[in-house]
Amino acid sequence: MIILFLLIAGNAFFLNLVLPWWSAALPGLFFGYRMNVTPIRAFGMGFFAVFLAWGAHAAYVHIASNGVLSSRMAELFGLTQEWILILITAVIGGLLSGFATLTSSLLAHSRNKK
Amino acid sequence: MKYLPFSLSLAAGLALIWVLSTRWGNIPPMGPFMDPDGGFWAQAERQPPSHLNDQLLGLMDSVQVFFDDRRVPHVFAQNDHDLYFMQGFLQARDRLFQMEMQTYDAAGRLSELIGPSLVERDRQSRRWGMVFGAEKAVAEVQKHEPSWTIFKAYSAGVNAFISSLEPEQYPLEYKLLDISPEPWTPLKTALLLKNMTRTLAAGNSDVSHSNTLAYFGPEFVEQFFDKDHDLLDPIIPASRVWDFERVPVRRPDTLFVPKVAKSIQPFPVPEGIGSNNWAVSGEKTASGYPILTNDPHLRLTLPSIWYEIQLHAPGVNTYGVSLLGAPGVVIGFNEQVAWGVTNVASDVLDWYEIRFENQTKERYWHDEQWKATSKRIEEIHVRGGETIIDTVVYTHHGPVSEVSSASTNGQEGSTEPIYHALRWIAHEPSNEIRAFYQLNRAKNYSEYVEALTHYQAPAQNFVFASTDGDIALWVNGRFPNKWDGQGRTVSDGTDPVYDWQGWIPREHHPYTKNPERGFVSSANQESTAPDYPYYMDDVYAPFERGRRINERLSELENITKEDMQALLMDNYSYHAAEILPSMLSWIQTDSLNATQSEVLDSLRTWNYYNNASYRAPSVFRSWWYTLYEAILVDEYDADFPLRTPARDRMVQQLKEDSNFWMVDHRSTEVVETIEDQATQSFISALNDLTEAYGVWSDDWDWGWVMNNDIPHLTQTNGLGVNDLYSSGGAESVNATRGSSGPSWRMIVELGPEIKAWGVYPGGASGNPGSPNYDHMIESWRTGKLYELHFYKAPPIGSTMSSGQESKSVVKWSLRP
Repeated sequence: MIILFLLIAGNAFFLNLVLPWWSAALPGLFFGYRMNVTPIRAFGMGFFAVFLAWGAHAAYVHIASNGVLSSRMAELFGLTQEWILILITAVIGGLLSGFATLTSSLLAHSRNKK
Repeated sequence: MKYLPFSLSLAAGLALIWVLSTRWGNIPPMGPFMDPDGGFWAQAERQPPSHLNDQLLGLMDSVQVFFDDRRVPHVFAQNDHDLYFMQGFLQARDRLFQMEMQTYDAAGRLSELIGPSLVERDRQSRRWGMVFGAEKAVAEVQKHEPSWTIFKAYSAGVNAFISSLEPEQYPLEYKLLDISPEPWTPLKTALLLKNMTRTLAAGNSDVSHSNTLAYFGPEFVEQFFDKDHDLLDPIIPASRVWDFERVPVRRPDTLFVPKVAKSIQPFPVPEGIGSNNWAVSGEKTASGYPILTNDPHLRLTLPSIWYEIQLHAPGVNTYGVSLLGAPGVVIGFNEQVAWGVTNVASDVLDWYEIRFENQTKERYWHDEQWKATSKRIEEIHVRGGETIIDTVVYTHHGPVSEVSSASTNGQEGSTEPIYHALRWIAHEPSNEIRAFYQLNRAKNYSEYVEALTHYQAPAQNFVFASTDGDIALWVNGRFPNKWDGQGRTVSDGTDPVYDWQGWIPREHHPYTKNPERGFVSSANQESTAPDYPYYMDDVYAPFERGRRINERLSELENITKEDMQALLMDNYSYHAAEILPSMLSWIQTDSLNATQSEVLDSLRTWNYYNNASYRAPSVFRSWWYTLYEAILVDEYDADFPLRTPARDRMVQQLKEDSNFWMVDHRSTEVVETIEDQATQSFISALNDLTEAYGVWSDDWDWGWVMNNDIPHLTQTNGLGVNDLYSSGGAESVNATRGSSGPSWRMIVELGPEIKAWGVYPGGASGNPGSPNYDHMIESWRTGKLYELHFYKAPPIGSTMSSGQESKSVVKWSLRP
C-alpha cells in the first residue's frame, strides 16, 4: 500500500516537471485501478500523495527563494501567512489526484462486479 | 447502474479541472497558477544568475554580456546589429510585461488584456491618434536605413527571447492575467515613444483657459496667467541677447471665442512630472573637470521606467538608462560626452473647433471652402465583451473628438456637441531614435548639436558636458512658430491663421554654451526671459526648483560629486520660505487652543526643509492647500473646467495684496479678511490631519504624510512597495512626493577617465520574485548613489579585470 502511495507521489512530482499542472491526476488514474481498497481510502491515498508532493515542492521553492515572491503573492491574495499559499497549492494537487484515484478505483470495482 | 459511482467521480474530477483552469473575475486560473513547477512558484528566483556559454540564433557574430553586482548588463558586441539585438533580448528577458503593457496602452489595446474597465482609456488613445502617429514615425524611420536596421535588430532580439519561452516561463503578470506575449514589431517601439510624448507633451489647458477667459474676463487672465513670478530665473539666462529677427507669421485681428466646453483632460499630467538637470564647468569643480547631473521626475512604478545598460561595439561605448521598448541609451554618457534631459512645457498640442457640413462629417469648413475629412475605423477588442467599433474623423488639423457644451451664464441650456480637432506634435513624422543613436556616439559639442537636430518630441532641455571642457544646454525639440498666445485657447478650425504656420528654425532655438556663470541648468521653468522673440507657452513649472538650483550653483565653488549629490537631495522649499512668514503673520493666535498653538510654534521655527523627520512640512502643505481652496472655492463654482492660478502666482498675489477680491466669501454676510481665512484654514487643516493621522505626534512626520508609494504598473496589491519614509516635495529639488519623483539620479564627472554614479527606485529585474526587483529602493530613498561600472574593455578575460570585481560579474558568451 505504502508503495502505491509513494509511486503516486513520486510520479506526480516528476511528471509535473515535464507536463502541465493537470498531470497531477495521471498517477492516480494509473495506480488507482490497481488499488483494491474502499473508495474513501482510494481518494485519501490519491489526495495525500500529491498533497505531499506538491506541498513539499512549493515549500522547497518558498524556502529556497527566501519567500520573496510568496510574501508578495500572499499579500496579493489577502493572506496573512505565506504557508497558506503552500497549503492551497498542496490541496489543489491533492484534490486533482484524489478524484483521479477515486475514479479509476471505482472503474476497477465496477468492472470486477459482474 | 454499476458504473454510476465511477461516472459521478469522473464528472466531479472533470468539473474540478474545468474550475481550476478557468479565470474567475480577477482570480487567475488556480490550477496552472498554483502549480508548484509551472505556476507562479516558477518565478520565485532561487539562484543568482550564472555564467552561460550558448548559442543564440539571430546573432551575426559572437557577443559577450557581463552582469555586474547590481545585474546591470554590459553588452560587448562586434557590430550594431548584435548590439541592439542584445539590448532587445535583455530588456525582454528582464521586463517583457512592462514593454508589452506600455505599448498596449499606447495603442489603445488595454481592454484586450484587462477587460471592459479600460475601454474608455483605449477609446481616448485611439481618438488621440496614437497609432496614427506611430505609423507615421515608422514610415519616417524606414527612410533612414541605419535607423531601420536598429529597429529591426532590436525587434528581432525581443522576439528571440519571446520565442524561447514556454508558458511556464512567462513572467508572473502573464500568469496573473492569463495572457501570453505577442511578437514585437518596430511599430511597438514607435508606440512606446508616442507614449512618452503623451506623458510629457500632452499637457494643455486650451479648453480651461478658453472657459476662464469667457467666465472671468481678460483682466483676470492677465492678473493670474500672464505675469511671471518675480523670482523666476529662466533656463537660458536673461542676459542672453537674441540677435535675430523672428520668422513672421500671420495673426488674427481679434481672438476667436470658442464655445464653452465641458471636456476634461483625459490623460491628466500630475505635478511632479518634471525634472532637474545641470552641468558645471571645470572652473567651478574641485577636480577641474565638468560635472553633469540629471534627475528626471516621473510617476514612480515597479518595475521602474528605466533600464540601466552599457552598450559597447565598434564605434560606440555608452552607458546610461534606456526606455523599455526602445534601442539605445536615453540619458547617459560615453567616453567623451554626457547628456541628460528635462521636459520642456512648450505648447505643442492645440485644439481646434471644427464646423462640419452635416452629421455625416464628410466635409468641414476651412479657408473659405468645404474640405474632405478622412476616417479611420478603430476596432477595440474587449476581453470578455463585444468588440467596439469607433470611427475617428480626421481633418488636416488631426483627429476629432466630440465634447459637450456648457453655458457660462449658469442656465441649463441645450448641450449641443462640439467637435475639437487635435493638432499635436506626436502626429508629425519623426525619428527620435536616430538622435539617441548619434548622441550615444557623439564625441564633442558639435556632434551633440547635430544629433539633436533629429529629435522632435517630447521636447527636452538637453544638458551636455564633454571631456573637452564644454558645457551646454539646448532647449530642443520641434516647436511650432506661433503668434503670441496662439493655442492658449481653443482655436478657430475654419481659419488658416490659426493653423501652425511653420516651425521655429533650429538656429533660433534657445540654447546656451559655456556661459559666463560657469554652469547651465534647467528645472522645467520658462525656457527664456520674455524678450525671446517667439511664443512657446505660458504653462511652465513654478520658479522654485530652478531658482534654488541656480542659487546653489552660483554659491558653490570647488564642487565635488558630493556637492552635486547633496543638491539632488536638497529639500529646501522656496514656496514655504516665500509665503509661510505672511501666513504666520495673518493668523489670529487668540482663536487657537493649546495644541493648535503648539503646532503653530513648530511652523515658526521650521527652516523650510521638507525633511522626512519634520512635522512642519505636513502642516504647512495642508494649511496652504486649505487656504488656497478657501480663496478660490466660491469664485470657481462653474460646472465646466476652469484654469486655476499656479502656486507661485497665488503666493505673489497674496504678498502684493493679501485682501484682494477673491479672499472674501461672497455668499456670507461678513466680509472675510485674509486673517479670518488664514486662521480658519489653519484650524481646518489641523482637523483634517488629526482625522487622517491621529493626534499631533510622530505620525505627522512628513516622511509618512508625503505618502511615498511605488506601486506596480498594474496597481496590483503586493507587487508594489508602500509607505517609504522619504524626504522631498513637489517644490524641492528632491521632488519626491506621493508616487512621483526622481526616477533616475545620475552624476557624471568628465575627466580623462569618466566617473559616474546613479540610482533609480527599483532594480534591473521586472520579476517580483527576484531580489533585484526593488533592491535599489532603500539607497534611492536615502540619497545614496552607486558608482557605475563603465568598462572600456570586457571586465573578465582581459588584463583590465581586477580580482575583486570579476568575482561578482557574471559572464554570458553567446555565438550565432
